[in-house]
Amino acid sequence: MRSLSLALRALCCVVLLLALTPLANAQAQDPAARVAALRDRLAKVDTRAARVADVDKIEYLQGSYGFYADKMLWDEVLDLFTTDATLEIGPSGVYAGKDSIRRYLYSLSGGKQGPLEGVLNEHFQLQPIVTVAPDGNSAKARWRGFLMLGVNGASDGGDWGEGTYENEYVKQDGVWKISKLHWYATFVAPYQGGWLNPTKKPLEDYALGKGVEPDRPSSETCEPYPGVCVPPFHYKNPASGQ
Amino acid sequence: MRSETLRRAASLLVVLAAVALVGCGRSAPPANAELKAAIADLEKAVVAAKAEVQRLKDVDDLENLAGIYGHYVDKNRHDDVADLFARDGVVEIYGRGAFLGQDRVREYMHNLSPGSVGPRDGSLFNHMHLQTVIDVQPDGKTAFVRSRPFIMFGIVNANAQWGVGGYENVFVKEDGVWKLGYLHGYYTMYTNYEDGWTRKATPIFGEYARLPPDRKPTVQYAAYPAAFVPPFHYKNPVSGRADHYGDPTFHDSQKQ
Repeated sequence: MRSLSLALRALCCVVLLLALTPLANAQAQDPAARVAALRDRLAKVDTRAARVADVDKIEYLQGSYGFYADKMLWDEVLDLFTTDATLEIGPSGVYAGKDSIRRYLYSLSGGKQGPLEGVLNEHFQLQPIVTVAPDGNSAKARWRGFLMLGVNGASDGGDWGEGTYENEYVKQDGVWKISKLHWYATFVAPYQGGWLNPTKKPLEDYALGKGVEPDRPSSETCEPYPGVCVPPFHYKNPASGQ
Repeated sequence: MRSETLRRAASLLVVLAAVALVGCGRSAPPANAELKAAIADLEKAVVAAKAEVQRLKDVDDLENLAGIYGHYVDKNRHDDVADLFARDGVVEIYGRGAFLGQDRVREYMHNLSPGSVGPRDGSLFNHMHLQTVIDVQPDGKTAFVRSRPFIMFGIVNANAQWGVGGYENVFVKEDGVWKLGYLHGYYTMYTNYEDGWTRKATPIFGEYARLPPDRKPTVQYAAYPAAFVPPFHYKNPVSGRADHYGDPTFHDSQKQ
């Protein structure tokens, strides 16, 4: 009976040991190896958390872009870009490098920055789809820009605008910046009449630089509404992978 | 044969048991200094990872809370809105002035539709709550959230309005739950649907005669067509620039 009792206890212990496999078998005798394995597992958790934090930071960055653009705080906007960033707004053509982007932005508000009396320049930044590269050093994001524009006193009530951003970001010295900002316009249309009978003029009035030339012609093959524009998706269908 | 096999098996298990009991029963031999240091590092790294994951969770919770507020306001769920506030929470919207404490917040909310709670036929009160920029403070107990309201107000056959602006809200963790510590809503443009925003603009709403505030508005401003930037709680996320056309110390006064 005694041996049976011992055997049962032994069995329990073996079962316990097997249950703790692989940790127990391979590493129980080697605490250093267990610590190393835990360190590796924790590093993977840290990496995943860092990618989630990256998404948050990019949403923060692009959200800030919108709040600054609303009020034409161009120096604040410019700070968000890398030195060699590019900017393209609908038919504007491509402005390459921060100096060109500065010329473009200031041209939109008569060389001044800051909110102007009688000017509405709302730039909603909505519906982000953020994809961070596995190494955490670059990212792409699709956003929806929804605009309410206008100058007080105009008879048309102002303008609506809608379109899609496909933007790119890089992390420099641990800080995310915008390296490419590209807004594909769906339309800019007068408040009165809206998008019922759209023309290109409100879009061109909004998007084209005033007295400044882009560094490169428009890269767009898109036609604003009522034409067809499907801004290229930077991502595959997350469900089908297609 | 069978009993012999069992006896041998039992003997083997006794040996295994002895080995296992030694292994299980004894405490591990003292770790060397290197190992102790490695474990200490690991413990620190786990603490840091937990804090970071908690911060990420807080950001998610706050984004939800900002949205939840909007969904309740839409439907005139005044008590649900008031319940989102901390005990000493404050609401300050437009030029209405500040209402201090959850009870006063409740009064303020009920005052929006006197005598009526919940959605009403013929009433539109949409408060979209968009574009959150969230900063959780290092202590994990206070957070600042800027967001964008987009308002569609309507009374059927009588009145239709658009409104845009900014929220700069403070959230506090009270009894382990995030709550609104200070809701500060600025509208910067309000106009009626028929005219759009270049033919007519509504001046900022002042105090309610029927419900005077506990404190005058913290920020005096005029809405569009005037030029106004709701003060930012944060510095430029890339450059750290702080000259944002607002009083940069303003939000210090709202920290609790």
